[in-house]
Amino acid sequence: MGDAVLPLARPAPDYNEAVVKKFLIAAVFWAVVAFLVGVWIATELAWPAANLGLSFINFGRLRPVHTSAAIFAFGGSALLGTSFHVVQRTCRTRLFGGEALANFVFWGYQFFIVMAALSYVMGYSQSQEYAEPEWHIDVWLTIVWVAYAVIFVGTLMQREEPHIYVANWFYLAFILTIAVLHIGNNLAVPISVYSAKSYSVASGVQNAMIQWWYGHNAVGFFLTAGFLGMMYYFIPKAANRPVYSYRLSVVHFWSLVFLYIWAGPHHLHWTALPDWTQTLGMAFSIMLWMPSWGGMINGLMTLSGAWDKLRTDPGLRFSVTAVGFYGMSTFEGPVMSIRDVNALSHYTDWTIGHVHSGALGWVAFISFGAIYYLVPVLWKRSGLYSLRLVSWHYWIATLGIVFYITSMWVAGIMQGLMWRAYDAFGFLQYSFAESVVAVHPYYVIRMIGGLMFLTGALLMVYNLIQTVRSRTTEQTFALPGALAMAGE
Amino acid sequence: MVTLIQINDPLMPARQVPGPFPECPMDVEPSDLIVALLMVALGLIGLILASGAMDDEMYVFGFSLFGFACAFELGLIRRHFDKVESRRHG
Repeated sequence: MGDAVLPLARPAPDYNEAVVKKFLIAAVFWAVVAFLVGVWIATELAWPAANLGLSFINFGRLRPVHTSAAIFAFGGSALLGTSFHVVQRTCRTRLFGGEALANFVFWGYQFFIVMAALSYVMGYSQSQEYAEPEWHIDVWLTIVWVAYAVIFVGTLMQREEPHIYVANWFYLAFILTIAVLHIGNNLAVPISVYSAKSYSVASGVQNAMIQWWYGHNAVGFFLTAGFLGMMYYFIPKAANRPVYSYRLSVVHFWSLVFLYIWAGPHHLHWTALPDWTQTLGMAFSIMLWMPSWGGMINGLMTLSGAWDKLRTDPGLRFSVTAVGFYGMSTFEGPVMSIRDVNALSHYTDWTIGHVHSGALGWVAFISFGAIYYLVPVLWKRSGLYSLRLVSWHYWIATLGIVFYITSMWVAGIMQGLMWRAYDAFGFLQYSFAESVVAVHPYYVIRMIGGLMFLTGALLMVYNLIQTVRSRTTEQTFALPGALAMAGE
Repeated sequence: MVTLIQINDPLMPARQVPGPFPECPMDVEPSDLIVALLMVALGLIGLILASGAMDDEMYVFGFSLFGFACAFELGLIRRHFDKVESRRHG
């Protein structure tokens, strides 16, 4: 064996951490907004009078505010911020394009979120789920997204490291695919350049197909691939262990991106969509189970030899629990995509429970783990203000998710069974209103679960503010022994 | 012969601007310039959209875009002069 050659220590480049900090602050802010609006509309569903008779806070207008705030504002800010952090650190180079371009991406993205939310409460929507903004806001997002892609790809191209770390592959898939999906699904003809109203170029079942090609891959590439990039960087960093199997991570990447893009038709079972297309979507959804669990196993096994850290690092506990929820959601999803299961689950609250086990358990938890790791690093603090508060956040949020998803499972399956029940004469046994009355208690439990999740997030906000401000978290630099001995 | 400058000199000492600082030239990064020009164009588009708006949404969006572009330009200018200042004192 020859002597091992250790690389010489090189000084770290002057990373652009300001934009990462801004995105983290935005992510935390939008998380609270998303959870707050979610709790509010859950209250409206349980007690409809809670909309106070005001058009701009009725369920139909606030629901897209909630989903956009959760997915694009909170999730998006977390993704953009962490991707800028990860690509700089793993490529050992400053962000491409200078400070102004990075600031344009940050402020431009926030402008998109505010304009989209404002348009929803004003009653403007193109009525496509997760793609509600009208054409002019879509054009704006395209400009911002292209700038984001230029920064990310430019940084990769000017990297100082020969290898592109796997987390960047996932982030890149997220950036490029979302660009294609966003443009493809939002092709529309405005009635005038001076009017917000537009009509989609596709109509009927073609429009539905394109919408769910977009919708499911928004889940696959925004809410999965991007956050897997986060997983592949922050779990090894927090656990101080290398990725369990780098080869598995590459197999995970290629199989995931190949299979996900075909799964959209499972949202259109039992519709006018051709049968073969539905079967194709179902088959690819079931195949997706394997790469998803491959990724989950890779994430969990990265903790081999470091499981004890779950006791001492509640931030890491968030990340690892997120991977567990990822595994659970990616098992439940393929099951729900089976046509016969879908006959029961579709249009019921089971779907809402499934979405939230992914959104709260996977997306929010993996983001919380990354935020708890990053804040002391970026603000140069010795550690978090209170690990006990992180633990409280963890348990309140976990319990909130359990309340949420179990109540929605029960409500959803009950709805599905009530809607398909026939009496001895072949008539429907229950009216729709009876199923609404039956799920009321579960809607209340769901609201309580959401309230708990919000409470946990508020604890996080307090903890992070104190981490940045408190004197107890200031870094103390010990003088080298010789200097200390010399009385310096 | 009395020149205009000689007349004004004692009256307005504040206008005696020191010469250019050779150590901190007013260099503008190309990416800053590109983003600044992009924002000018987008701000103007915002104004045009607001001026011809057929509905509330486009009116609000157009003016917001114009305001956003102005605020962003001011931020760029501020950061530019902050950098020049820090180089001068650094």
